Amino acid sequence: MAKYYDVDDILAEEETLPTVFNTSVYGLGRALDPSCDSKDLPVGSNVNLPFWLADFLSRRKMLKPHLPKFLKKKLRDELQGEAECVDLRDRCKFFYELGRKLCTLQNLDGSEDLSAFLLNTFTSRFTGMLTTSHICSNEKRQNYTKVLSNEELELFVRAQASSKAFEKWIYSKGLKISSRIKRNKRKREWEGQEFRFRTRPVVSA
Amino acid sequence: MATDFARTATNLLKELKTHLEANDLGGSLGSVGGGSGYSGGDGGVLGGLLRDPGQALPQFKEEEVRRCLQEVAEHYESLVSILDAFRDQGVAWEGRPEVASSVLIHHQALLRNKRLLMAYQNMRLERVKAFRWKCGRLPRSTQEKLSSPEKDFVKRYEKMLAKYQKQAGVDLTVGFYPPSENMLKVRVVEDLGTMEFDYIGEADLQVGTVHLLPHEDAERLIIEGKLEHLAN
Repeated sequence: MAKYYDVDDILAEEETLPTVFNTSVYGLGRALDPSCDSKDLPVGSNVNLPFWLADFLSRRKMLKPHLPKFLKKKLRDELQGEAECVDLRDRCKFFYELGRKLCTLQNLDGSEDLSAFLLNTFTSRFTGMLTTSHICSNEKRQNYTKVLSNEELELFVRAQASSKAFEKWIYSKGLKISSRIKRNKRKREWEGQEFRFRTRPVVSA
Repeated sequence: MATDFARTATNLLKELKTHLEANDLGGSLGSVGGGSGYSGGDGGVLGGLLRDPGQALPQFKEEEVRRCLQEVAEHYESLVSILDAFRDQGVAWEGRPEVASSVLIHHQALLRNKRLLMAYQNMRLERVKAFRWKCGRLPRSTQEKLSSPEKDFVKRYEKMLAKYQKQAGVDLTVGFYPPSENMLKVRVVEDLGTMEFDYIGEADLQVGTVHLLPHEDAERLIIEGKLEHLAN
């Protein structure tokens, strides 16, 4: 419930996945599947449903969900080979978020190694992402952000912001110190610096 | 019959999100508590302002929202008619999975629509609040884009803020950074007539004229874009 108002969470749940119905559905044949002729949806129909509906119905064993296209075997192999250059944004903007949600589904084929696969993909992409966020040309950066999923993009933007903030801090420090010295000097002159300096050697000796 | 399962509401939310991201207010929205409201250091006191304040919020999509509500009503009607039709037959739910699934689907679609609309409204109000803290009062062009409950919200929020600030005795929306100088050198962008200030008394603020004004008063007017800060 904590994420009720979270727009990213809502949009991630909007992605569709293929499902097979275990029951028939009264009166919703045309609504669920445009190619269905009868008024009721028959048992065993293949329907693409958004995750929020598929999740709810699969928990009640009314349908059997399958992995969405972007997590099918062929594309998985592709990701395992050269994870860094694969365009995740094109596949699914909410790659990790949706993947994480899919892991919680009970009766999903091929969900056993899904979490390990997601983690693998992330770690192998992360190093390159971190390097690129700190040092690269603007042009390359723009191209690079187009292949990142939403979650990665947020990390990327934050990494850039932090390195910018760090640079700002490390360069401004020099300025601050010099200005403080100047002020101290002036202050000493006003406070009668000569008097203090004349007396001090006498005391210390 | 509603067949598209909250598609309208989803598009509504997506559009709003894209618009708000394209017209960022600069810095993170949570800068009220002393975050990076204005990027101190690069040039003027107040960097990172919205390029076009009229675009801070898109028009409230009344037509779409009405359509979503209608979809909710349709789902509700189907729910009631299904329940009515099968209650008379007196069959247990376990024996009629096709009816049970239909009821659940209608109900979920209804709740989904509600969540999407709530998120849409919430996102707009968050932007309105953030705008008030970072850029001052909503300009007239943006006010016209609000729905009437939203206008009401703005009015009350404004009142609440004013009341609290009066009790506290400070303008809470300015001064997240300690001022480096007491007076600010400003050029007038928008004709403000004659205004009264601390320390210097009255000043005639005509377009193009340059003044030295007290920091706390000037900052508010600069944020609202009525004055321009002239950094040395």
